[in-house]
Amino acid sequence: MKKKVMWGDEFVRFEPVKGAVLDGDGQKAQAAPVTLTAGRNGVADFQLIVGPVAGSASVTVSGGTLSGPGKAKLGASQFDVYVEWYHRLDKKWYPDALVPQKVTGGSTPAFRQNVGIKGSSHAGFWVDLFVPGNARPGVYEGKVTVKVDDERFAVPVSLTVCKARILAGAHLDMSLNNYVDAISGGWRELRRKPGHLATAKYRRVEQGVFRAAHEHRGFIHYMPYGHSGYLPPEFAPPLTGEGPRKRVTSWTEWDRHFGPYFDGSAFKNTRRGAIPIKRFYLPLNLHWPADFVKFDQPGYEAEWRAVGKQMVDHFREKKWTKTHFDLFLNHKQRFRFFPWDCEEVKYLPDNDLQRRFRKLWEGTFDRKSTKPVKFDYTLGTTWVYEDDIYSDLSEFIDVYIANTGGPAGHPQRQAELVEQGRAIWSCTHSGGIPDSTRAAAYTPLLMYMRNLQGFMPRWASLAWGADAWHQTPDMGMTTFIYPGSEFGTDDAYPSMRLKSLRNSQQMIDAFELAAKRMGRKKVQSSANRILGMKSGAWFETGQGKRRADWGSVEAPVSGWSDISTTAWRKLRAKALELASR
Amino acid sequence: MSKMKKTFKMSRIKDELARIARIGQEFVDGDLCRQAWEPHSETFMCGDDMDYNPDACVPLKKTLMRLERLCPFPCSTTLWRRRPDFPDTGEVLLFGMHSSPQGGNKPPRGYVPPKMTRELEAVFLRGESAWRKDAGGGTVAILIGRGVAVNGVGVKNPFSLQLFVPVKDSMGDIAVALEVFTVVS
Repeated sequence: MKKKVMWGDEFVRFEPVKGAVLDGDGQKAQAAPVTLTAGRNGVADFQLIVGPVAGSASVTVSGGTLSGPGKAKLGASQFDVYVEWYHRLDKKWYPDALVPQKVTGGSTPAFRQNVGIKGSSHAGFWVDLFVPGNARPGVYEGKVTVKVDDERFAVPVSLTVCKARILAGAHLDMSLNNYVDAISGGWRELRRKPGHLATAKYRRVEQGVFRAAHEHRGFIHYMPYGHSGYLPPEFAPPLTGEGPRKRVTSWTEWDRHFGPYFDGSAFKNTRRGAIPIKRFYLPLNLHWPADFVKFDQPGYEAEWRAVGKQMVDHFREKKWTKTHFDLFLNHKQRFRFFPWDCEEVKYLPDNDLQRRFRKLWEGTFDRKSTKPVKFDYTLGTTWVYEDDIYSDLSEFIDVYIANTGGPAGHPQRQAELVEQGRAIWSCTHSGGIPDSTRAAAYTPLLMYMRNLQGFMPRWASLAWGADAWHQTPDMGMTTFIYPGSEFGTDDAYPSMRLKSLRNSQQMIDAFELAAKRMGRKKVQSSANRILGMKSGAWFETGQGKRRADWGSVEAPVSGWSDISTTAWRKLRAKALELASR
Repeated sequence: MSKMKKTFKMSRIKDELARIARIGQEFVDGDLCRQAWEPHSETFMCGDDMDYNPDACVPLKKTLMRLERLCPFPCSTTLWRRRPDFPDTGEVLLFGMHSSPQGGNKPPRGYVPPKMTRELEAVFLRGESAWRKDAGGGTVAILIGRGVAVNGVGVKNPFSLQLFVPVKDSMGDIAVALEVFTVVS
């Protein structure tokens, strides 16, 4: 059978054996040219499926120079090429993890053998094309070259660069929530090795994971303490003393570990640039900085305030003013360390704990006491959102993290809270490896159309188990980034679903550019016309409240299949068109 | 020298754990232990239904933490109960700073309350104390990583060392078992 090189966008998934399209909805592979549209300071992407190739063949993709209006050019360095990894689930192959071609040397026999594909097959590639912020708008044309051993295929590429300049910051907070020490699990030499969190190796791999999230318009939101309140020493500055004399003995290691996230230097040389991380969980919990033995006694408050003030002063001195520093009390009764659910409350009296902490918060970490540094009191309110937003908690909670359906029921109250400077998020479900990439693309859109400020695509995103690549846990529903240890590197690699999330984040940022001129309601109406939806449809929810152990009872991601691939493509284009007017 | 860096003879380690346990038998309030769960939560069968009574639990938690601090090397404590609906069970009531080597995670879906171990049988059925020693595994490694370990003279491979003792309520009945444990490495 003759070799072919076909292409598809983010929504078309190809399986590697026959190169067939996996999902229905009228999707199909396309012959060249590859046609793309992007905003400036944005990214366009496409996939190439090459084959059939012999088991012994090596396949690579190289970007070429694209020539645009006047003498404008986009060089080969603007291309990032990934080799698609395939996951075997339910006796089918699905693409998801993406490995930089510079790491693997292409889709090589060794690579495909590692995946588990034998003999003749198709090689899949994902290609990102970055458009600099100062690129001249217009049509750019050139080619990428596919090499199958010594055989070359020139694939013409046509890119339309729109006038819109996408801002580097993201409108929606995309929190890739995780718990220490998920990251070490990806590297065998780190697992269970005492003291590994202080090693240079750990710091490198941690930064690699944070950079992967940053590059895709999100951030790793890394909960540093366990349900017991145990904090690895590397995740909090050391303390000494008691009562009002309790103090941080040294900020040196803390600054060395986390400072680069807060000043943006950890993200140098990423495509998105050295922007400080949007949010960060602090080690504040029932057992830090105040000793729980003193809970409800004057010494507890004294320790909280003493160390809190030092923290605020230090962060001010370092000018860490771009990051929101979160208090998130994560303890839950079911783990049997403390007698409250501090989040995901079922029994409302547990919220009395938040009221006690309000007294400690005000005068220490509230906005008036800390400006220009920003500390946020964040509450996980999965089951009692509709109680919490109308209660006295709304007087001091800065960020509510609800479930998928909760915010949909109270848009008016939500608007009032947002007007007061609060933020409303959903922690939701964005599909797994077997699901169409439309499932992941849908999540940011849903949040935007409901006027939320942020979301977690899932409650965790670095669930790697014993072998993230060959036995991705949970059908990949809690895995959006993969550890580079499989290839002997300290970096972390994205998934196709993370790319779709990024693309929707980028689309929303384009919508917001347009919204500055025409207002968000008009932008949303425009989106609804394309989708054939009424604005109220986004606020319908079949979600009951007070569902048990929501992580497995909440319905899998739904709604995404109502939006066709054709509609998605029109929506993506519309965003750029509106932003470019 | 930090607590972890000292080395102790096994006899001393056992004596210290026994001392902490004896103090605990006096200072852990058995009546409060019986009130630790809200009445509607006494017979929980899933995590969602677990609801502590903070007025009972906070003092118990503080007592456990204080007990742990009396030890010259790192140790931790756990309270265990018999469930009123399944009297042959031995279930964690409350952890101190760290979970017991047998404590495990949150109750999973389809939770089955665990049967009493031999040691808990000794405590609950015969009112006796009991020692338990387990070779190193994942939990032991975690405890070592968190500093809940003591260097033992002549010890080649780490193991958890636990002492279970009865704690009575005001009626003289055994309310809970108090576990005091460390990892000897």
